[in-house]
Amino acid sequence: MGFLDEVIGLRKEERRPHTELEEIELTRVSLVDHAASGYDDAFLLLKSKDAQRLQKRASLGGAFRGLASGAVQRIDLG
Amino acid sequence: MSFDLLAKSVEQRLTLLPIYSPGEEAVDLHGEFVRPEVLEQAIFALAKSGSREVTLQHAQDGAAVGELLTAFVLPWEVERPVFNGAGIQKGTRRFPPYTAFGWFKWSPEAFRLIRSGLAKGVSIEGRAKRRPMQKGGSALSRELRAGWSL
Repeated sequence: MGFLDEVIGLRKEERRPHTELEEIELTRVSLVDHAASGYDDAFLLLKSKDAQRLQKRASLGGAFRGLASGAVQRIDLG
Repeated sequence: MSFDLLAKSVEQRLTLLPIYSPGEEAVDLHGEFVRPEVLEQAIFALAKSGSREVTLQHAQDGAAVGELLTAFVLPWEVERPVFNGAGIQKGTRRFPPYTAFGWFKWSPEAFRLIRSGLAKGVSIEGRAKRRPMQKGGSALSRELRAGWSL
């Protein structure tokens, strides 16, 4: 399992229900701003001017800081 | 949830999107699922008093990039053509009963991101009790309250 899989979760074909959520309280809705399905899309997103402009207006979480710092480029995707 | 656009208005920067489907068959990226009646009550509470601001998923203190105008559940199974952000049909998708949907209005920048296909969906975060499943499918009694996202 690669870095992004650990951060984002398993790919769809590997998913197995293992946890039921109960007594849910919803607090925040967000636009998924990275690729949950693959690394290439994440790189494309980093190149998007609109994405960069949006990211500048926000303080980024750990996962995207990792991408922005270039750490992803050194990861074995296999 | 993946970005399966059901309807949009370019002029108003509006999109109708699925938010979450309940049931074990609709297990999410984290291997978690929610029973229909639990999701329904949570969406009712969100619609009544929850935050309507939509931020980027990994922005801790980010500015709003959109607004959730309304959220609702449909108690019927729905099968509809779905589209990507550019309006190209991806296929047909079946949504199980009690799937939650939402109408969203986006900032110009976020809407361009959506139309370019680079936005991958919407996500809802909150709090819940986690009940790990046994191999046979029944829930263990151990409960854990923690942060999570759908």
